[in-house]
Amino acid sequence: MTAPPPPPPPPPSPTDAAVAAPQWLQVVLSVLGVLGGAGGFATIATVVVKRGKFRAEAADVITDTALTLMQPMRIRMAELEAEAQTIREQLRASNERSRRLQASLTQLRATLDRWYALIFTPDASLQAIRYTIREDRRRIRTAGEFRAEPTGDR
Amino acid sequence: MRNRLIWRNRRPFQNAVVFTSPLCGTMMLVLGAPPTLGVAMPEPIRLGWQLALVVAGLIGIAGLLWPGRYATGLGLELASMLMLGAVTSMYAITLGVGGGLAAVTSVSFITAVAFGSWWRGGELLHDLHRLVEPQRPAPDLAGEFP
Repeated sequence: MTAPPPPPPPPPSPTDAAVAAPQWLQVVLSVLGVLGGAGGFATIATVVVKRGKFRAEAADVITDTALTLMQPMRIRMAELEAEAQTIREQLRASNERSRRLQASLTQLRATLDRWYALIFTPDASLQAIRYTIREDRRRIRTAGEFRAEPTGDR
Repeated sequence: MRNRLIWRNRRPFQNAVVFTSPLCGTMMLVLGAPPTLGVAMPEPIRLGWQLALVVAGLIGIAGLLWPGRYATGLGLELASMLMLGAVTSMYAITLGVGGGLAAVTSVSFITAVAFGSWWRGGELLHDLHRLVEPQRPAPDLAGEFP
């Protein structure tokens, strides 16, 4: 009952709107569709054609998250590296020192043996012993100075 | 240790949309379009729209599951996102113009899908640009790690 009357009055504005809206709507939709489709296919074409241009190493696609996870590890690693370097240096110095001490110990033991033999020879005289010991001491002192200089340098 | 990382940015929404769209498109192609579409879109546009929905979804699935080069997968995903963004924008406009207040919910959610598609498309574009540009001289992080 009420349905028939309304149509006559509305026709001017509703039909206008109904005609006008689909018109621009269709234009907008067509433009959007064409743009989207063209963009999609252009993208596929680009990717397929330029396949070689993209770098493909996995390292390049590491995400920022992974990098942030790795950062503290790398800092720690640098610290440990430095520490290891220091300790290696110390070890080398200490080895060197131990070698020098070993050498001087051997030398001293040899001297001691010689003096022992000297004292206990049957014809040992105080003069001879003093003379030999003085010679030895002078020799040792010069040798020690001679030796101490290069090893200290090294 | 198993491969069990906690990631900041997983994308279940994108996956769901991409897997749904071809289903939706084929269903509409086979069973016929809903009346809202018939009013606003003429036949050829509607057909193209449905086809685009299917194609975008299939390309998106292909891009997400691409076994080969990383960049190709990203490119396919980008294409899918562009098409999907266009398609959902079209539908959102159609609904919004035709439905008015009655369609607020659907229009908002479909607009959200469209917006998300464009967003993801922009991200992918940026990533692909980064993959194309010449090798940067490695920030101090990417160094002598094997």
